[in-house]
Order: sequence, then C-alpha cells, then structure tokens
Amino acid sequence: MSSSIDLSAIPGPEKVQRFSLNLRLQHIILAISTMTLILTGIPMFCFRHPELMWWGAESNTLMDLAAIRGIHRWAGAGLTGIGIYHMLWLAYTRAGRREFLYWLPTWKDVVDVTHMSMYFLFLRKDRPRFDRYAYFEKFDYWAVYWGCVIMCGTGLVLWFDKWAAANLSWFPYDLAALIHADEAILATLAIVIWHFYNVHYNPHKFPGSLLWLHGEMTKEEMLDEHPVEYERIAKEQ
Amino acid sequence: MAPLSRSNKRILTRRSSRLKQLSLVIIAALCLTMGQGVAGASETEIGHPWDGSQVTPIHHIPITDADGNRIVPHIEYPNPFSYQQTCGVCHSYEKISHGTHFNSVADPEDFGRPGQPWVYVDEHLGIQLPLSYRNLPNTFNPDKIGLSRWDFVLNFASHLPGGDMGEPENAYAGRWPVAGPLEANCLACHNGGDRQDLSEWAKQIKRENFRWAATAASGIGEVRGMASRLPDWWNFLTPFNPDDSIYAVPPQVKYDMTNFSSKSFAFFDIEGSPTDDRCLQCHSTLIVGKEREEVDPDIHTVSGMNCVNCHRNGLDHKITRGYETEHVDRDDPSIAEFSCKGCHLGSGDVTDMSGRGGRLGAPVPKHETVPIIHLDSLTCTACHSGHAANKDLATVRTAIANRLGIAGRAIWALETPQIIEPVFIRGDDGKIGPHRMMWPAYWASVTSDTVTPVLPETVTTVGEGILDVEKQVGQAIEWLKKGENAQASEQLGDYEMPEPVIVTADKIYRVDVDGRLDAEDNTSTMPVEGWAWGRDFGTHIEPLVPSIDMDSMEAMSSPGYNYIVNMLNGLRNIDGAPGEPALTSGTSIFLNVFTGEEDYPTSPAYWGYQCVYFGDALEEAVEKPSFIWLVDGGASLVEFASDYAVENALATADSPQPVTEAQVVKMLETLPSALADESAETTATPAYVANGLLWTVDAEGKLAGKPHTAAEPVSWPLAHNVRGVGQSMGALRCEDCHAKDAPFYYAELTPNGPLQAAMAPTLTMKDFHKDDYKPYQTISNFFKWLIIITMSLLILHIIADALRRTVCKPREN
Repeated sequence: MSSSIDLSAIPGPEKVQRFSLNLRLQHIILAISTMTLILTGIPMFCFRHPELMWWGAESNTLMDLAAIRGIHRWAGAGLTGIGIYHMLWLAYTRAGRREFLYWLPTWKDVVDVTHMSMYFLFLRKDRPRFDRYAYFEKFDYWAVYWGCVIMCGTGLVLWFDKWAAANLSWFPYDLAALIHADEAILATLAIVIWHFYNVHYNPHKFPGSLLWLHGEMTKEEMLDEHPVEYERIAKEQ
Repeated sequence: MAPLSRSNKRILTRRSSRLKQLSLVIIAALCLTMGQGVAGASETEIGHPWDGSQVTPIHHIPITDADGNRIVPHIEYPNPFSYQQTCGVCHSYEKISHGTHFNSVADPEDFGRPGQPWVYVDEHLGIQLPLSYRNLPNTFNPDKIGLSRWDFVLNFASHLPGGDMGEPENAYAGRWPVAGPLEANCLACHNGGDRQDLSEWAKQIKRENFRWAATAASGIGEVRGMASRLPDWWNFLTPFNPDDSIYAVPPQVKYDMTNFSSKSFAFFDIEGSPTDDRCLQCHSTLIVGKEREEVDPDIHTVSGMNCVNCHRNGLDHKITRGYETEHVDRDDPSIAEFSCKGCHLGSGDVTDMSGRGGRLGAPVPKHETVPIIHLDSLTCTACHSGHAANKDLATVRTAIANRLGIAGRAIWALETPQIIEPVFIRGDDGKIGPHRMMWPAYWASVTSDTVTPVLPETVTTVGEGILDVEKQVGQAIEWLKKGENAQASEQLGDYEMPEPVIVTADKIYRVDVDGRLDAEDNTSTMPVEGWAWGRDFGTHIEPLVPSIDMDSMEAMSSPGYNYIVNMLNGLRNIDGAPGEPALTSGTSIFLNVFTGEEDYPTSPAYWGYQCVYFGDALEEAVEKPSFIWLVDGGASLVEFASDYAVENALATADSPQPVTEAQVVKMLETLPSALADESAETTATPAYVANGLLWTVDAEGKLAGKPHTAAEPVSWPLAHNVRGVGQSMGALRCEDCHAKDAPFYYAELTPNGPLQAAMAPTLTMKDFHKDDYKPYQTISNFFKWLIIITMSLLILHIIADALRRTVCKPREN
C-alpha cells in the first residue's frame, strides 16, 4: 500500500487486534517447541550421520547427547501438547471454530494463487486482495498439521521404542527414524526460509514483525495484506 | 570201579562226541548272537546310555591297536594304540566322526554360519591362501585347486583333532600307508590330565607319524623315529633295518608303564566335558602387541563357566556353536537358549521358563538407555565382544591361522596372515556384527573371469632365484663367515673374528640363526652408497674387500692381500661349494692358483696355493668388489648374491610384507611357462592376488593392480572375549560409535598382505554395513523429492515476491 494514499479517507479502525492472547500463546509455545526441536535435532541427526559433525569429533564440545535427547523429547512433548490443545480449542470454543472456518481452503485461494502468479509474471499490476488469511498463510497452517502428525507420530515411536517394537512391529524404528529426519529437514527449511521470509524478512516487514507478540496490525498493514478482512471489520463497525 | 566195557566206551565216546558237537553249535550260536548284539549295539548306540550319574566314569581299560589286537605295553616294539579300536568299543567312532570337528569333508554343508577358514601360509612365497572344505565365502576348496588331503593334513593337522581329511578313503595311496591314518584324537579334547601336549602332536605330524601322533601327544607313551624318512613302500609290519638306527628309524613306541596296571590296562584321565585348556589350544586368539598379563579372560570364564557350558553337544559330537540363528539352521529349537540372546534375554515368553532368559544365572539386561534399533540392527557381540573398536582396529592372531601354542626350540607361530578385528559387517541375518578379516594372497592363473591359485610347489620352483632372495643372501653371508673362519685361523694372538654384514646408510643387516636377515640401526662411520658388504668387528665396520693397489710393489705384502688369500682359501674348502672362489674388483679377478706344494706333510689343505691377480680379465667393470664362484672351470661367473637378491632381501628384511613389486614383475614374467606346463589352458595369464587387488603386468612391463572379486577379503564373525556392560561399546557414551572419527563407521581399512605395494584401495567400515535399506528407499526418495519440489516452489515464490516488492514494484499512480 502506497503511503501516498490518504488512509484517513478510508473508514475503519486505526488498529486491529488480529490475534487473541490465547492464539498468540499457542503460537509462542509452538514456536519455542519447534525452535528447540530444530536446535537439538540437528546434533542428534548428526550423531546418526557423523560425517556431518562439522564441529568436531566429540559431541561433548556442545552437550552430552543424553541431555540433548532429553531436551528434544520435552520439546517434542510441548509440540504434541500444544497440538492437542489447539485441536480442543478448535472444537470447543466459538473463537476456535470461527478461526477454523477462516483457515479452510476456498476457491478464492485458487484464484489468488493464479492472480499472484500473474502478478509475479508481470501479467497483472496488482496483488490479490486477501481476506483474513492469504493462501500462503493457510499453507503454513496446514503444513503444521502435516508436520505435527508425522513428527509427533514418528517421534513417539522413537521415544517409546520398546513399546513400539512390541505393539507396532509394522512400523519399525528404522523407518520412523528415516521419516522423522526427512520431515524435520523439510519443516526446518520451510520455517527458516519460507515462514520467516513471509513474516519477518520480506522487504515490507524487515527486520521483523512483532505481530506474534501483540497480535495487532495497523490500518495500513491491514489494507496492504488483508484488505477484504479490514473492509469487513470496518463495515461491521 | 569196574572197567567199562568196549560197548559202553563206544557209547560214551559217541555221547561225548555229540556233546562236543552240540556244545560247539551252542558256542557258535552264542558267539553269533553276542557278535550280532555287539555289532548291533555299536551301530545303533553312540555310547553307553547315561545312567544319571554326574561323575565321569574311570577309564581303566585295555588299549588296542589299529588291527584290533590288544596291546601289551611292556614288549619291545608295541604298536601305537588306536582310538577307533580302543574308544570305539563303547563309543561309536562312526557317529562321532560326523561331529562338528570331524565332518568338514563328509558333511561340508552341516556347519551353518561361516567360520574361520584354514589359511595356507608361505611367507617366502607371498602366499596366504584361505581354504575350506566347507565352501565358505571367498575361500578355496583344497580339492578343487589340487591341494591333496595329504598336503592339507601335513600343513594344518597341528591344530586339527584328527579324523576328517586325516582318514582318506584310499588309505593305500601315496605316503598314507607309511604314515597311517590320522584318527580322530579323542584325548585332544577329553584328556583331563596335564600331559596332553599339542606341541608333541604337531611334531609327530611333521614327522609324518600320523598313526603314532595320538599316543605321543597324550603322554601315555613316547614315540621316536620319523616316518617321513622312510621309503614309500614301508609299512609298520616291515622289520627294522639293523643297518640304520640313526636316520631312517621307523616310529617306535615306548609306553609309560606307570599308566598301566599289571593286567596292561591303561588309565586314561578322561574329562567327559573338556576343560577350557583343551578348547583353547586350538581356539586361542591374541591381540598383537598385548602381553599376557594385559589380556582379560572372557567374562564368562571369570564367572566360573567353561566353554562347554554353552558349546554343548550330545554323544554325536555336533557342537552348539552359539550363534543366534543356529537353531533355525539346525532345525533344533532346543539349542536356541545357547546363543547370547537366548541365554541372556530369552524369547520373551515369560510363561515358559526357558523363554525368560537368565539360564545359569545369566544377567538379564534391560538395555533401558539403548534405543531399540541397536538391538534390532546389531549383534550382541557388536558391543560386547572382541577388541573394543572405540579407538582403532587391532591385528589379531588366531591359533589355527598363526599356529599359536606350539612350544619348543623353534617358534612356530607365524606373523602372517595378518588378521584384523573388529570389522563390522552386516550378516545374512540383517544384523551388523564384528568380524575378523584377512585378504588373500596367492599366485594365480586367470582364464576369462576364473582366477585359480597356482599350487605352492609350482611357485616354489618358479620362484627360485626370484622369491628366495633372503635365503640367497643368508647363504652368501654363511659362505663369507666360513671364509672369515679361515682368516681367523691365520691370525696370531687375540683376534676377534668379524661378522660379515650388509651395510646401508641407516641399517646393518646380519643373518640370524634361522638364516633370515635381521636389521638394526647403523651407528658406524663406514661410508656407504646404496649398500655394501662389510665386516663388523664389534667396535667398527670395514668394507668386506680392502682396497689394494696391485700395481704397487708392496701389494703382495699388504694386510689386504693376505686377507684376500685367506678368504679365498677358506671359501675353497667349503663343502659343496658351487665352484672355485674368486674376487672381482673393477675389471680384475683375484683367485688362488695351485703351486704344486700340497704334499707338505702337516700343511693345511690350502697351503700350496697362491693368490694370482688377473688385471682386465672382465669385459665390463663390476660396480662393487665382491666374492664370486667360478663355475665349470671358469666358464661362468656366479655371484654369491646378485644385486637383485640383495636389494630385494634388504627391502623385505624384518618386514611383514616379504614381496616387492620388482619380484612380482619378475615372477609374472616367468610364470607363464610354468602355467603352460601345469595345464592345457594356453590362454591362462599369470596374476598375483594380494593386498585387495589383482596384479598383472601390462604390455609395457609395468605392474598394475585392479579390484577383483578374487581379491576380496574373507571374513568370519567373532565372539568371545566378552566384555560386561561397563566395558561395552556405547555403554557410557554414544560417541563410541556416533562420532566423526568413530571406527564403527569411519575406520579406514587398507587391505594388508605380503606385497609392498605403492597402490592400495582404502575401504571405509561403513562400506561393510551394506546400508541399502531397500524397503525404505522409496520412502526416502519420496521425502527427497517432496523437499526439493516444495522448497523450490517456495523459494521461487520468495524470489518473485522480493523482486516485485523492491526492484520491479508497480509504478505508483
């Protein structure tokens, strides 16, 4: 949104409380868990592939593997816990149910992807006008589902390996470890490159956004990123 | 009493005769019945049925020779006793001879998991050839490469308990009638006394006293004489030759009468369950470099167990080997408990006592902190057995490969083959376990893709003058020593005889009692270019040939001249000298010439000779002054040791790699003629397999090695030397294996062997893990492409977004 546009001429609030405290706390716990899992997962991955130990021969330079594994497991427990809470929140709260409807993919998302592609290819001059969640934000949300199911599922098999060997013999440890590691690589790359770009590093937001902390967006930001939602809010007022 | 009438006498006589006939019939019938009973018992029963007593019965029994005749031990020339005839009375020799230790020829497939092969080693010929009648991977069947049963027994029976290939079907061929069969040696395992002697057994084998070896080794009698010195037509019924009581003395037994009762019953101190010493005489291993006091016994032994507690067998002598899948291979669930897992972990079925594990008090570990993948993917031995691989791989010697445990004046133990452990290899059961490994080395003929070893005797013949360089140099030094002896006898007063040596800039080489070269650091000041013959006086070293100016007037009276005269005279008197000794220097020859005064009554043999100098006698100047032989009246000049011999001998002296590339080239150039003789295959090309490569000479005469299946290593799983939890791999730190330089993954294995090769492939331990995980490959590929495609799209999106937001942003109206 260009600063030359007179925002005051557009009706609506100056600030929008976009995310509730509950949702922000869920995100913070999710973020801390995920960061911890990534940081502790890398040395654990390298233990399985020692040729990747760029820091030297002995892991003790950083931390004992048992301690790393312990932290990783508790972070995994945090991720699993917040995942379960989120599902309950979606099911049992009005806010959750309302939010879930916004996260559901719609035909407009297909149109927006096409629109954005044409914009990138200079076939259109304007960006799509997004509602509460843009298609790439919905992608982030649903990717977490995919990731959580895989990572928590395989992680539990690795954590409770003896139980799994006795009761889930069709899902061997090796396979769980393989999937866990591969999905971890995908998730880490997606978060660090894709998600961080969209919310922090893109030229429009660099060096970063505090939306995750206060949950507020200015009128300008809303008109730039979620104009359809802003217009609806303005209309409802 | 009234005398009997004639008729009565006739009646009585007739009755008596009938009684005799009847009794003969009855006796014959009884004998037949008993005979059938005995024969039937020996065929159907392996031994006496066990009556339940835990005590091994006293064996105070008559001993019998091979013909079934009872031995009277105190006669002059008693026969050796036969196990088949002595023990076989009660224990079925036939069935026992199909037991694990005796059936490699008869039942080659009845063994299960591959074990250690036999290794034919000839260090001088550069051969270490893995052999097995059991068709183990990467080994050769002796029958198929032309190595006879006789040769096999002669080479390996020091650590064989007899039987098997020691009892050939045709016992009348070759030397077998002289030596006799090598019967299964019951006492090798079951002798509970302390007189069972492996060294004596080995000695008797080398003397070809096969029939007598068990008697001598058990200590029940002494055996003198050597069948190896007897002619092929000799057999043990041949009378003694009164004219030869020194050399060709047939083997004779003298029994130790303290072992016998007055009825000539022998006392055998039998252990029904062999003691560990009996097992370890053939199954010992040693980490090279470790002293005896540094070696920990196996943890099971320390806790009071014996080998046979796990390695059990019935009277059929099929011994439980104790690997995890043995009960499947042998289709015998009852032996499942005698593997590590079976005993310590059980099957997990707690309703069944045997399924709980913990037999004989075995601890049942929970492995709580060990991710279960380790239990699924690794054998128990990977963490608990052998040399702990958290540092480096070890070189190990085994009793049967390196001839351990043969004591005596000569050390029989071999440095080669060099076996390494632990090499972690994924086995057929899908688990990674520690193995011992060695690389084969042999001369071979190659036809298309078939690589066939050349027989050692062919290599010996072809290698004469090429591979026996150390022997040549040792012989030369011995000759020079004899020359020095003559030199010493000419000296007056205290004279310290110098020792002939070879000197290089940093080493001095002298010949040892075995005729081999020993190297030591050179601290002398004698200037040397390359190498030179020298005379070591203890305090200093002088060149072997002194410098003399023969054109000077004083030459004939110089010490150097006298030295040469004495040396030549000394060399001339060597028994079996190949020719007349001479000295070459530049283009000159010095030799002693007869002057006609040999009749001087008390003169030594060389008096009457005078050294004569022939200048410019040689067409080409020799590089080094050296002693030579004039052969065929001077028609040819033969060096004591050629430059080739000396250079190669110095290169291989004191080295575990006794073959140089130059020797290989020369051998491969010489072998084709021998191969043409050996087989009709004219297309066969010679090759040398060593150090993990197949070596051939190319068109330019250069040696080149290439990988080949024939050069691949042979390996076999190891067990024992068990370490408890505190000493096991990974017990306290995952980094024992999961570290950048952990040998479990990254140990570099450079194939070893007899060749001093500049080129060698390097393998990494991980190569042997065979981590192909084929079932998981699809999933792995799915994630790989998922990551690539997803991240590519996302990154494209980012780039496009960034460009549109900055460089290519739309114009503002």
